[in-house]
Amino acid sequence: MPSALRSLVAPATSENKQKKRKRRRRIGESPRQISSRAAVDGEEQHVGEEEEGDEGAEEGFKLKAAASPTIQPLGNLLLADPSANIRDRGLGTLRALSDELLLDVLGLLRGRDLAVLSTVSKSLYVFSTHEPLWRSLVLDELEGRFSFAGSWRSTYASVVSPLLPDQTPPSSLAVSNFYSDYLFQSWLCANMEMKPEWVARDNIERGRGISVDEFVARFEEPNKPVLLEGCLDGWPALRKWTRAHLLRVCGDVEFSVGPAQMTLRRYFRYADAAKEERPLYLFDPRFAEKVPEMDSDYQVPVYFREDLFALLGRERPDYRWVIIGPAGSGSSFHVDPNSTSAWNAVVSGSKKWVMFPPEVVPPGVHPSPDGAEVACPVSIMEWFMNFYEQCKTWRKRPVECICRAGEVVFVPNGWWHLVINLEDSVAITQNYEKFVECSEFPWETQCK
Amino acid sequence: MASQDCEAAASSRAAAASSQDCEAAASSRAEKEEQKTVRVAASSRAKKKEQKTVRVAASSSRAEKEEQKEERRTVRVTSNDGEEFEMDEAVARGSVMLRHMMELGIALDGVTLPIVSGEILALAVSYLRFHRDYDDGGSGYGYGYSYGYHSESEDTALTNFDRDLVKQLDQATLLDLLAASNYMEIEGLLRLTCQTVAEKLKGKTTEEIRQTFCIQNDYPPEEEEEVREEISWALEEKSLD
Repeated sequence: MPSALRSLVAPATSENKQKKRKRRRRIGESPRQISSRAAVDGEEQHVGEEEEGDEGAEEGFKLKAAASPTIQPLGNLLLADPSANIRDRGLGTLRALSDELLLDVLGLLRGRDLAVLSTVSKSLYVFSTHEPLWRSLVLDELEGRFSFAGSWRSTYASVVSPLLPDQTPPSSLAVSNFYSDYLFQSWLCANMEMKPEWVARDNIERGRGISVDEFVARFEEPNKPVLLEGCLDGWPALRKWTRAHLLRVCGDVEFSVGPAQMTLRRYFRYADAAKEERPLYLFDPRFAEKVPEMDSDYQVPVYFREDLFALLGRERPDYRWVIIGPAGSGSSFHVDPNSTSAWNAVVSGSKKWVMFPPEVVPPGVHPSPDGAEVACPVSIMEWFMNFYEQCKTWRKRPVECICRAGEVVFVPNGWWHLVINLEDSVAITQNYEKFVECSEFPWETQCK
Repeated sequence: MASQDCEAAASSRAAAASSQDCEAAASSRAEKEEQKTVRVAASSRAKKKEQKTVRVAASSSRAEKEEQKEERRTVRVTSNDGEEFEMDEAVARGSVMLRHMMELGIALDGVTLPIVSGEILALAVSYLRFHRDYDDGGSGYGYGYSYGYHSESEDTALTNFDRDLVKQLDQATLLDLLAASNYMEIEGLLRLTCQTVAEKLKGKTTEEIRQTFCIQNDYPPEEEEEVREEISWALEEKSLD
């Protein structure tokens, strides 16, 4: 039996058919958004369906351990009684709204009202327990001051009504016969792993021990990306920055995590437990001031020391970040602002990079004419699922690589780039402006 | 002789007749000519008139177009049940969907919205028209937002309009308007309708929500109890039904 049919015939609770869906990102979100999680470790549970358009009978999506879907995609209704879908029955007049619009409305509710909704019907239970809703509530109301309790909903509840030491949190209800493409896609992106073929291609040029002049001539001048090996050998950070050490040195220092400030301790607690489409990413531009020891644990690689930004002294905009995140966190496609170039050094872990030259807009990305707004799929995982295959046949293929501990990626100015952590990773990145680029600089910054 | 006479007579009669005919013919020809002339004259007059009209029309439409070029271009939007609405392009730009269609040049012969009814489209258009007068204009994205660059009285007028617009709507119309504002990408109206629906969900008990939205309870009693247990923290201050 063809593998596509096999997945439809099997019980709906154990196998699901993936349906493609393109979603547009909301206006106003920053380019450095969090992506879905992809665990490298853990047991694999086969979903076992044929990916559309793939001739090689792909194996389907591998799910993370203990992921059990309660929501099913609409395609599964083809072999079930259409009236079996409890969605509409449980919404009453609200069934007139699409899943997205209903979630937009629910996103305006406070915690108590959202919680009460889950008692109204099974369908509203599924909608009102949608994790991104609770994440917004936690981050809005509590900012970073929370201890992640396994899910955003439990986290919110635990703050409002802390459990006594011997109390166990109530378990979630298992709902069946709920079919929804939007919610299923969201669940799938949160619970699936990166496919091997998405990380297989590595076509970036590499350089080891090259001179600065050679770097400038071969890469900086012609604006080409390169992966540099061996130039972090002198960094204390490479041997020092274990999790244990970081917790000792700055476990209670608050770092920028998405819209909030969180202690490192709390962040790790979250990162270890989160199963999300877009995990929160620790991305702090003031780590060196907050933890001076970190400043002395690294130095700018020799190739990037001529930096126009340095002339601005204290007035220079944010230019360097420490980046910490679990597998699946990262940044979806964007171009760095102000025509800057960047370097990104992995201290521990590994990152998958996909880069397109300035004149090639990645598939699925729609920049506004001034480049200020970028509309692209919600998560990195969704991009890989729906768009990665498209550029296989393009004349100008993307530049791809995996950057591992001790390696540095040079991102030339104007290049589109997408990055996803393949495991728990720590990295340092800096934007810089080479002197020769002065004339391309925006006036406002020049006049500073 | 007689036959000759007859013949002659006949021929003369014939001749006479023929000449009569001729005359008649001639006169009729003349008449026809005259008529033709008249017709020609008439037609040429008509033509001249027509030409004049055409010239006038052309020049006025050119003038119109130039006028339109300077400020006032309109777009015609039709609902799925045939109701037409003509509005200034500047007003229509409040809908990002219409804005893009106009920019792409595919709205010149009007736009038909297959999923929006006349009743709903009328509400959307009235929203666009009212907000256009208060908009600080130009940004496209900012249209429909109240950025606070208005005077207090303008803000009040905006708030009053929005409140009155949604106050009168029954639930089905409100939900349809929400969906339409999403479809037509009218940001401010989408926010307004979402907020209005959200208000109907706030501060209510389980049973009140079921009644408001005609929702059937599909929980078996033991599962309902389980869920209440799950969210007991939210029910603590409320009276249970």
